[in-house]
Amino acid sequence: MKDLKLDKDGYLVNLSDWSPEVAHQLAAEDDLVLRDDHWEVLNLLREYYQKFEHAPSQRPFVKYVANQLGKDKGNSIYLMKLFPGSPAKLAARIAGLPRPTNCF
Amino acid sequence: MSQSICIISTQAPYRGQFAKEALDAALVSASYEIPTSLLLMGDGVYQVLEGQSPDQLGRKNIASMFQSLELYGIETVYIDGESLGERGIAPEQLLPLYTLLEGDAVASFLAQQDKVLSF
Amino acid sequence: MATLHTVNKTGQPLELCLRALNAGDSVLLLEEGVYALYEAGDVLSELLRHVAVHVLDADVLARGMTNRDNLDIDMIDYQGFVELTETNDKVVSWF
Repeated sequence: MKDLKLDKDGYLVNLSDWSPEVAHQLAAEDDLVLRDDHWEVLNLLREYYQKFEHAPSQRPFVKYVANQLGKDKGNSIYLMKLFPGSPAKLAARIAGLPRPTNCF
Repeated sequence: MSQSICIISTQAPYRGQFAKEALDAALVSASYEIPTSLLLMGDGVYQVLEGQSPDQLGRKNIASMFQSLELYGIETVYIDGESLGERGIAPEQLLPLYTLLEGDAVASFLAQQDKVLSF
Repeated sequence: MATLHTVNKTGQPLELCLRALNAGDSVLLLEEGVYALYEAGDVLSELLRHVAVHVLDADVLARGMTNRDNLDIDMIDYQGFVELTETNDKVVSWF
């Protein structure tokens, strides 16, 4: 287990510390075991961050997933099952992105 | 129907945090499904010039953030045409996501808004 | 929807404000915006034909400004500022 520097909300302080192993470690803190369907969304979220320079709040997150993977996956229920609670926040944390600033 | 908010952004993209904060405000407001518009005036029009790469400044690319607006339900960015003209900027040099407001259109657009925030 | 426009600097803020005015709006010059009394006499006299222009007395006095062109501009105090925000539907600040 790597000793990670996290902020008070559990997000990585240095985004460059992220790796797939780190993602598993972060997910474990929320009792999540990452499967392929998680990774599909996590990779998409990282791609979003590359493209738009911020972590999205819930609505654009859902819309982006819908645009890229179709409506079967781009809906709140599906994402809620994968990342319970607040999917935009939890997925951003595991994907090694900053906390969505426009998401309270 | 909730009240409409217009965010006016008047500063150049990497001048302090003004441009980023204006965008953040627009994204927050749109996330709450408040009818939100973004109006660029003065040096603010430089924010949507194509071809920005601020990596060496260690700053986030403002233009990239603009491209996410559609996912937040903000379909267009309003731009004061006179500010473009004064700076010799042709509309083709801008990201293709704007609506130009010419002449009195700026004043009448603002008159329709319930709340206006400036950055 | 009447709007109160506050302008705290001459140059871009004042110019952009002029573009955004509708009949029935009010303008309040404050902080460095009060220098418009020196720099922009002709702009202000034009402005006065369409909208009400006010200056914040504390900022005028602090900077030793005088109303050079004797324009019909209303000096108000902070209480007057508050009243303006109440009588208008919204406030737009130009800085």
